[in-house]
Amino acid sequence: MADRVSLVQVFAQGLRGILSAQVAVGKTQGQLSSGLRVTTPADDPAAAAQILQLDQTQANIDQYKKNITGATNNLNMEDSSLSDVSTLLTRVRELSVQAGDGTLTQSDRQAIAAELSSRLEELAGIANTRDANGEYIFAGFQGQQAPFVQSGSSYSYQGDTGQRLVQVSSSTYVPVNDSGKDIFVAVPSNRLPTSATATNTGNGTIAMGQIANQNQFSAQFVGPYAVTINTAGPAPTYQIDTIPAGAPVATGNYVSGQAIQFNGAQIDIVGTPGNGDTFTVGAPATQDVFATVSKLVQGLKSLSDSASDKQRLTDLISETLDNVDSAQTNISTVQAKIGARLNTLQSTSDLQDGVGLVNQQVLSQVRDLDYASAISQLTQQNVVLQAAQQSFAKISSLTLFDFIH
Amino acid sequence: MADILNIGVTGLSASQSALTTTGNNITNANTPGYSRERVVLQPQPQQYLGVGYIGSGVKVAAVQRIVDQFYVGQLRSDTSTFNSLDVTATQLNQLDSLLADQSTGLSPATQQLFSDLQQASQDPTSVPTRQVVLSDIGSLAQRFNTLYGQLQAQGQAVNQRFTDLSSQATSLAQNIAQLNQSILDQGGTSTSPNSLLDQREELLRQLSELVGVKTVEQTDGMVNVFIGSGQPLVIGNTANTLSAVPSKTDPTQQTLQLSVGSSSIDVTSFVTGGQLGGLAAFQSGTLNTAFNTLGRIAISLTDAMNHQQRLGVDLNGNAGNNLFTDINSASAMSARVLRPATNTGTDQPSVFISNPSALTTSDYQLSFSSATAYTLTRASDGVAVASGTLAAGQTTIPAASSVDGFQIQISATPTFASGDRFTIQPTRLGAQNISVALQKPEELAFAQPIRTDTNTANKGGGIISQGQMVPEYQAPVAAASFNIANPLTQPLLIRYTSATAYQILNNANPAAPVAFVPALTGTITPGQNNIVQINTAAGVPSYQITLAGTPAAGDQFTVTANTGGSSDNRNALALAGLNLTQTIGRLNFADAYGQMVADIGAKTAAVKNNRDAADTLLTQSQTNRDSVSAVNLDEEAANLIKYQQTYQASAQVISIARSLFTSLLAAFQ
Repeated sequence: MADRVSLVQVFAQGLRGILSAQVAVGKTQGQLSSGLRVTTPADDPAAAAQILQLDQTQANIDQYKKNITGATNNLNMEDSSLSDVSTLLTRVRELSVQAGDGTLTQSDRQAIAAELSSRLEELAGIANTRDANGEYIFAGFQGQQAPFVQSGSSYSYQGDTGQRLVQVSSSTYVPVNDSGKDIFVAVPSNRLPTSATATNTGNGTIAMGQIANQNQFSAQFVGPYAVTINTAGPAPTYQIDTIPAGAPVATGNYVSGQAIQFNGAQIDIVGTPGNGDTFTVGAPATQDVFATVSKLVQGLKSLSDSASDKQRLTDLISETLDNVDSAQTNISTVQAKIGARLNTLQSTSDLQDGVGLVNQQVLSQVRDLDYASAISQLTQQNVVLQAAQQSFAKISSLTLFDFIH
Repeated sequence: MADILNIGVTGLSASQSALTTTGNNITNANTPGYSRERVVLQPQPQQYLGVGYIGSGVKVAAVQRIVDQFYVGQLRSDTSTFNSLDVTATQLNQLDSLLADQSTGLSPATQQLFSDLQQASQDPTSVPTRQVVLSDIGSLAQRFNTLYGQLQAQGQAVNQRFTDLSSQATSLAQNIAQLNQSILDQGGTSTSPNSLLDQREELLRQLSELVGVKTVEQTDGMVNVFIGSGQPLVIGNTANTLSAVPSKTDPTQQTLQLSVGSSSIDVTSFVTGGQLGGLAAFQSGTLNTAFNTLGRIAISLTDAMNHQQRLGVDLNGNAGNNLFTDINSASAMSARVLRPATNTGTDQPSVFISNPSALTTSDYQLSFSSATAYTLTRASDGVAVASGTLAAGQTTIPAASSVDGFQIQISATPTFASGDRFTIQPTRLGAQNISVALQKPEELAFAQPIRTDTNTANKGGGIISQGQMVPEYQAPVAAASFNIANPLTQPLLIRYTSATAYQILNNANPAAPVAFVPALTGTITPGQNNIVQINTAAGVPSYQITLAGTPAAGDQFTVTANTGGSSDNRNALALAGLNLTQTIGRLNFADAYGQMVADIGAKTAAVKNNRDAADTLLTQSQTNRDSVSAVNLDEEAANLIKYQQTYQASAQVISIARSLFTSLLAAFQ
């Protein structure tokens, strides 16, 4: 320290002390009023970068949670629609069983068909469910047009198999819809698709095939097969060939309504086929719920009380029950998937909550002010300021001129 | 008695001088730059009176100015340092608050956009939520523009300060030159014209607030003043002119020019210390880097989002158009090259950005040593990143490749001349040029152009993914890839010929799929994800599909155009995912911005600390100087009493002489 203190020094130093104490008080006061320790990045550059990052993480978490809420709503809606479908299919099953009652007449069955028709419309209504935004939930990516449109007596699917995902965490995407195709159209079936060739001359009809012996079926059935009826001889016979034709798979006498078994499969042909009439039998594939119900309705309406039609009815009812059961199972499977997704959403939501909480804590530690220490600091700074002011007033008032008279 | 009288008179006169000087000290106690003065008294020559020497009174030998040149020099140097750091801290503080503030920074706008994209991805057909996204895009572009505007305003303020401060420095230099002349006129060092010396010292101190100076005192009392690395500002009684003029390489920035006689030199890079030195360092270092860093983020964001948007399909089923104006629009490309008027060649090259993630935040210098020999130098580290000789018909520099993510495009018949120099600024205007190109919310491409389907008759458990357009960044590595003309409109049928082998057929007519020539076949590993990539005929990646599960022979899958796929949100998710994608080197947008904020924050903190340290040093040297040269009133009060008493005593000596004389006269009466 210099051994001589000039007038300007006394004032400059005193003032300087007061000003710097005021700056310190002001800064602490600013921190106290904002509650923030870091007000500009320069206060703590490392913390500032961390704060930006934590803020972003927090914003992401908030968004993910919103996405989870939206996804949960979508899935709940789909789930409740599917429950409605399930209830409806149960009713269809009841009606099918009822229609199989041998004591019913054609007119009784027609009454049941009428109810089934309206059930079919109801099913289409559910399958064309729209969400709050007016999008068809079972239409895949084609959300702006109704996925199931009436075509003839049944309904055809106009949507696609698009599945929309929603991001619920940085690495998790959850599907929020299922396409109508997977739910209603491509229903796995254990029945074998069959058809009568269009140029057949007789009135023979074929019901869907079924699996008679699972082990044999798995080992031998390759499909498709052609069934040819030969009525040239005294007794009608049938011959089953692979397509394209190879060695005959099976042959035998044809009797209307009598089951034909080959390679573990069983088919029922009813009626009087013409000579050379053919039927094809395919490998098990999928069935369309609408087609199944529609086919039943048509059958109930048209089949008479004749013996062969009775046989056809029995086959039709058994086939319908099988397919409705498959459809029920399929819907349960989809519902189970939805349940699993909802579980994922719930656990992701819990995780996001946890991460968010930790994030907030870290953010608070990095950014927020420690009030206790800030207040004690403010008190201390006030003392310094007062001391500076008082000492300045004292020192600056001392002058020799006061004593010269 | 005459002796006594005379001695008394010398005492009176000396005391009077001393009292006057003390009075002058007291009245100048608050005058800036005033150095206290002291009367130097000396005894008058003595007379020999035979028995010894008798004194003959006192005389004023000099009025001395109390200064310590070391402290004065130290004060000047510390003033320069402090002012340099102080002005830098002020500028940095402004920048720092601008970038970090919730209402002015970039983070809130980007966060909002990506959140709303997520929201919109949940409901891709909703036009209102699309409108929100479009508005967010607008406000993000706006935020970039505003930030650029703020940086530009700060740059203009710096330019204005350059102009003001350099003219102040010139006028101070002129005053110093005049004072030099006056001091010489009044006898220079021999007579010590105290007040002129004080004035000159104060002016030098004021000059050192503006710019760091070195002074050399000549023997005749004049002071020469040098700035920078020895450029003369004042030589004797001549002052040179310091002025701010637009830079030759970048007319938007002012440079400092020292005019000596008829010649002038650019001293911007030499000037250190003082406010001018601080501003020059801030401008070339921090401010330009901030422009470029922000520009680089804007360019990367623009390009990444445009690219992803173009991969998608909008609500009307059309291919996505650019969200933002293309980064390589003709005007943007040519604005990246500054051509000084001094170039003799007439070419105006332009810059094409080919890979935004490889861009740096540096400017570049393209110089020609002949009509064809060029060197491209990166300004940040001085490395020549490309050099060579232009071949006939060459239209890019470097030929057929890019450097640091860009390429300079030139005319096929260039007219460069030796000595031509261009300033290349790939990223400088990025934040200014970002603007929204998309007008209608329906045109946001949230869907992707292809979709897949599974044949209902499939027997196996094969699965096909929905298909994903190949993104610009981080595409998964494909196991197999096929080149197909117009892949997005070409329906495909994927048919398994065994449980592991598949063939891709042209499914334009689903009733009769035909094989491509040559046939496209591949194999999968059942139960795993097998990524298949479809490219254009030229081999440019288009989309990827994943074949998984355990298919059976004969199973079929189709790939078709996603007509009417309005509920598809794949591209919306991809757009939202850009948030966390490393698009700028190894950084995502938020990280790149965070890095910029942290960098400027750290610079600000460091400069503030240095400023505080310089402030302490300045205070110390001011204290040292004041301790020696400034006035202490108590000391002066004591001097007043002392000299008053001497004066009174001297008067008493005269009075005694008078009474002695009276006594003598009375003896003769």
